[in-house]
Amino acid sequence: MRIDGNTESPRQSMSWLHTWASLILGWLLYAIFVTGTLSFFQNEISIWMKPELHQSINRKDQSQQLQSAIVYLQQNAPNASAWNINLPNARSTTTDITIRGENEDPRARRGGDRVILDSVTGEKLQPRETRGGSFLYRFHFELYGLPRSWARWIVGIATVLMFVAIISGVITHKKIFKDFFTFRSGKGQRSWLDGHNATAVLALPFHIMITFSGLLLLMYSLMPYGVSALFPEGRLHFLQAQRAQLNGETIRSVEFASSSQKLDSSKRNGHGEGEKGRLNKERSRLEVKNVPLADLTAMLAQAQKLWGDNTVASFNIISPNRQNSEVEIRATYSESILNRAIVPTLIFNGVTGELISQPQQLKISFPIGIYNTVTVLHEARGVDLVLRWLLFFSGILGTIMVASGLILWCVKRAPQQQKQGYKNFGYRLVEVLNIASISGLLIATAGYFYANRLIPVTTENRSFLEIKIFFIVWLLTLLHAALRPHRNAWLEQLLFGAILFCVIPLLNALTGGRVIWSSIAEAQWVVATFDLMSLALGMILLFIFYKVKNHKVAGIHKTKKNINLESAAMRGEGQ
Amino acid sequence: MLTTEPCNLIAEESSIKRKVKHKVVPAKYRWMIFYRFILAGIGGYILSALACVVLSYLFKAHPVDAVLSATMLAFIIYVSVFIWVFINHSTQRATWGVVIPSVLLFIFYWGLKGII
Repeated sequence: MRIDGNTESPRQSMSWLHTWASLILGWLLYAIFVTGTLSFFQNEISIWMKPELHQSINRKDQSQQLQSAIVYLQQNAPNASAWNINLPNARSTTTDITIRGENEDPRARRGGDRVILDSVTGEKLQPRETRGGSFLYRFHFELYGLPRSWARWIVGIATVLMFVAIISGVITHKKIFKDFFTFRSGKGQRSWLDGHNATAVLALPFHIMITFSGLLLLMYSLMPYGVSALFPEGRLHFLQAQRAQLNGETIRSVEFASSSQKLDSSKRNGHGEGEKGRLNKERSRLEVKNVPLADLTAMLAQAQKLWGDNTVASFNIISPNRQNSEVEIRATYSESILNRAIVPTLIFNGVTGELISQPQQLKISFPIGIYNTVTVLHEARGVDLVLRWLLFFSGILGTIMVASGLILWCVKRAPQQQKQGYKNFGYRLVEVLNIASISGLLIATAGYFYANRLIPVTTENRSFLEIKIFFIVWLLTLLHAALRPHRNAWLEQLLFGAILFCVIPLLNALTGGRVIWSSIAEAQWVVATFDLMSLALGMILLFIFYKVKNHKVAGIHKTKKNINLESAAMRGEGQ
Repeated sequence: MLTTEPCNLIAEESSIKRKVKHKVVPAKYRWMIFYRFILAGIGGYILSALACVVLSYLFKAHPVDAVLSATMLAFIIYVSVFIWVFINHSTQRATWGVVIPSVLLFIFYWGLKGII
């Protein structure tokens, strides 16, 4: 892609493509990376942002937790059509209950009244109004304030360009395997290029996984043609067929008791008309009588014994206190990463307490396996805390990769700009946008957390106000970046961001949250993780601050070799 | 990263750049770049969407697997087209490389639709 039209090697043209494909939506990509990386801790963020919940501690005594939930439900909603009890786990310390009213579909996924209980005392907790981590999570693929399909397309285009950048970057990067095993430390200041390459190569499998699965997760918006060709009735039909295929073998091979087969097929077909109709029929036929609920703790013990380490996650009690009641117990993790959302489930008769379901055998085909593996990692679904931190740090590496790439664009062009004595509009624009997006977004995110703790709990529309502050702070960082000299703007914003994040554990302690040493001592990792994550971010920002501060000095004494390295690596660019 | 290449090449390169720098970027060049992005972005999308549909129809016997594989492949095809468009020195060659497979896939698609 040279202006003079001379021939160039494939690697040179790929280097050009890498630069420009990345720059177009680089800032958006950075924002997606930051908010997406934070979303690995979505639960943690949401709970941190509701300090009212911090008092609840997971004592890991599930039968006691279950008992106190049942006591609450029997007192407050004995006639509900269903109770859903989510017991505390590693990422939530409260007992979360959903109550479905008498005429509601007991197996619906949405709706119902939500109640949060202190898992020890059984006391009802009232958290403040906030969007919590779901704002950042939604932002990373739907942005904010845009029509949903538009936003998904914009994010999708950015993802495709990211994929292009990865592939072209790999082609450009000739000695990729050698570099992977070479770590040149103690050779003075590592250039931005080295940083860019190191973060890119180190976490390359992660980058490929996150980009490809990102596209797959948006496939119904970006590439729906295969689905609509074979499933003209749409996406739901496709998902149903997928589920049917997963269960397909079992139904033929295993003899089911008639009741559980019915149950199984109704489960497979979702909760449509048939399900409701069947339930209604059953209800009228049985003339539902009030019958006391069987002992749930016995069922719990049975499930615990069967699943071992895979702890019991939730109870779904359909028609409690009635003759036709059923208890569905679900485990925390699916048996393998290949079958994604399908976790081991036991179904009991709610009156007699006998087990009525059979263990399921799933048939996972190769394409479904690939799809599930990459998307389950992207969503970090049912992933434990260690792997979650690993994904988080990989996300940070990706974030640094995007950021250093954006900065590299400027670093590379700086000598030319210096020589001509003034900065081109395009160059200055990239400079300012770099600062406002790279450090500005982090400051805005911190601002969002601070707003959450500092806006009074009783304020109207406070969740909207929090988001408003997020955007106002972001805009202010843009103004700051535009008005201040380039280097000062960087240093000031980096330092400010570092301080904001480092102070977050203190803010947490001062505004009603659980103090970090207490949360660690009580093994309340869901709260501790957020504080630790903030500290980690603050430290990283501080580290970069010092790096940038010393960078100028290194820049002046820049060796000829360094300049050659940079220009050589980025050779073949148009300008 | 290309340190193994001789240094005089680098010197030559920078001297070319210095010459180029003072020239105004020709409009033709800008249009060529714009055209390639359109070709890769929209042409590539059409090509991969057609491939997605054709592959889905081809393996209709296993609909769920067919659709998932076709969609996953379609994304890979899309990115490959992007690379293809920019790795080619000749703009014309890049164009044919997108147009001919698209037309073939389209014909194939109509054929399959007729059978089914």
